[in-house]
Amino acid sequence: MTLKSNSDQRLGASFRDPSGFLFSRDGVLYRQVNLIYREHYDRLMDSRLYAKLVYGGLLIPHEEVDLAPDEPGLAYKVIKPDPLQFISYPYEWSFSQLQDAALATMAIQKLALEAGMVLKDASAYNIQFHHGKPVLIDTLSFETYQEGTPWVAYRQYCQHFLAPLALMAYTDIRLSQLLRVYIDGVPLDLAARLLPMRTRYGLGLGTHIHLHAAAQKRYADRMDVKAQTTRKMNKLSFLGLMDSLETSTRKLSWKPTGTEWGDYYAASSSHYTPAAFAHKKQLIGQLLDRIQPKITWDLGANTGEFSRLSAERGSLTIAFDIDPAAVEQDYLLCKKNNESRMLPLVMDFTNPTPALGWHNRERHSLLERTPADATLALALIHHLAISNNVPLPLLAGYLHDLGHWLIIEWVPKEDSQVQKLLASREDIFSGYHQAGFEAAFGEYFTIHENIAIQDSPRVIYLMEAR
Amino acid sequence: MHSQLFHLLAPLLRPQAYLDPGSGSFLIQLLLAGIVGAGFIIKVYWKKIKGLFTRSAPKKEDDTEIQQ
Repeated sequence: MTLKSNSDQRLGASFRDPSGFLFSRDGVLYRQVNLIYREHYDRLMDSRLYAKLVYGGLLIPHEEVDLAPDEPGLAYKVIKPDPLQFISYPYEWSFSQLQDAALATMAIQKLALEAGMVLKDASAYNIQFHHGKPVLIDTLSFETYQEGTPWVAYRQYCQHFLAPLALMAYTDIRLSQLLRVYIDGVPLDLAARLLPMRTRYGLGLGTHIHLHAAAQKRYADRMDVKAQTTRKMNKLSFLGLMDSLETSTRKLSWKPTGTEWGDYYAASSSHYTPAAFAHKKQLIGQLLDRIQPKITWDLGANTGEFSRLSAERGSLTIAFDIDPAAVEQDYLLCKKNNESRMLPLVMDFTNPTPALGWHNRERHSLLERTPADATLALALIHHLAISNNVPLPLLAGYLHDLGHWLIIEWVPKEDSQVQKLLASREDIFSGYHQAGFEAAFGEYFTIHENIAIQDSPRVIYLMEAR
Repeated sequence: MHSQLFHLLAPLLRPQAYLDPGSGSFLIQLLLAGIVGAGFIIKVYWKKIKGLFTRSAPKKEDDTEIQQ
């Protein structure tokens, strides 16, 4: 992923940890390692922990570079991490993506402890999906383990991983969106209130969420903690705590049922004949062969049937869908087939991810993560134009902002799916017709192709941004 | 921060430890230490005992699963 700004700058999300920070220079991302962190960085590199983590695909590789530091007075070294394919955030992940990110964090912690080090943070934002797998992107997350001290990132792990996963598994999958509101993870007292009563009695969630929340409340304004000061946490207990956290995380499960479109393709016979479906796939494949995008965004990808046409052609494909069940199925399929060029993400295009955090600069909006080389908008337009009342010119303007090429499926009013959307409401969409569509999109795009799908009223368009 | 808490948390106030561990989150770990430590020993030995009887079974490390 390239950075949109060409100017030298320190990154907006990189300010909390004095160990170092990220900065960009000429569009390339670097990380300054500060002198204060020297001992820990050297230990990471010299102890073979770095080599083990990189070999295991758990840490982003980097090289040390001879480049003038961004803040020379503080600097020990400058490193250049391998560029990431795409930045995504925990509130865009399905259940298993967040769970795999959590388990990767625990696997890293285990290896770190073997090397006499420990994770000093456990932020879900430090994990990114790279070539299909969760990987730690913050090289400065390690410090020398000091026996006796509890885990400094215990609270963060519970807030960023365990609490949202438990809420998704036990209460409602949509509660993953709490991560969008609470930038440092779900507050444990809130999680404890929302989780069902039975989770109080389990050893894992009972202690790490419920008891933990109670302890936070109890000691938040207490003065009599002196008696506790002589107590230490030996390494065995520390390992036990990590094992308990890992087991609690691994035990959680969620099976997608009863959501909006989870079985969309199973029901697809109602709006595509087998011949129409095959022709649509063939058309999309041919158009992709022609434009050869490096990065493709599939909007409304469902379980990734059409996204895979692009991924199979070597394009990094981000498969967005509003339905967490579809994204879950898509991710599990990616995992099963070891697909390295697919990234399924949960996204509601009527309300795409905004910029969040301090100064609204810590987490990028979706728009800041553009452009794609190609955008696929298949069987999508009626959901945005009719269900969400977005006028076609606004839709064209938005899609123009996302990427260069656009492969879009026109779904006319007589289509059974549009009729379904109009069944319970007044048809106020007098401008929703093919000529209106071409006029609106013609303002922003050059229309190269329009090909009717056999056996279907729908039409596939290939357009190029003006 | 209250002074007693400060002393308790002092080892964590190294410059590179930038996170506030939270006093409750810190103390609950000390409270759980004995239980999770004992649980861990039992688990490790139980696995060893089980291993004696299922030696031929292929060994599967938990932490490699996510990489598959």
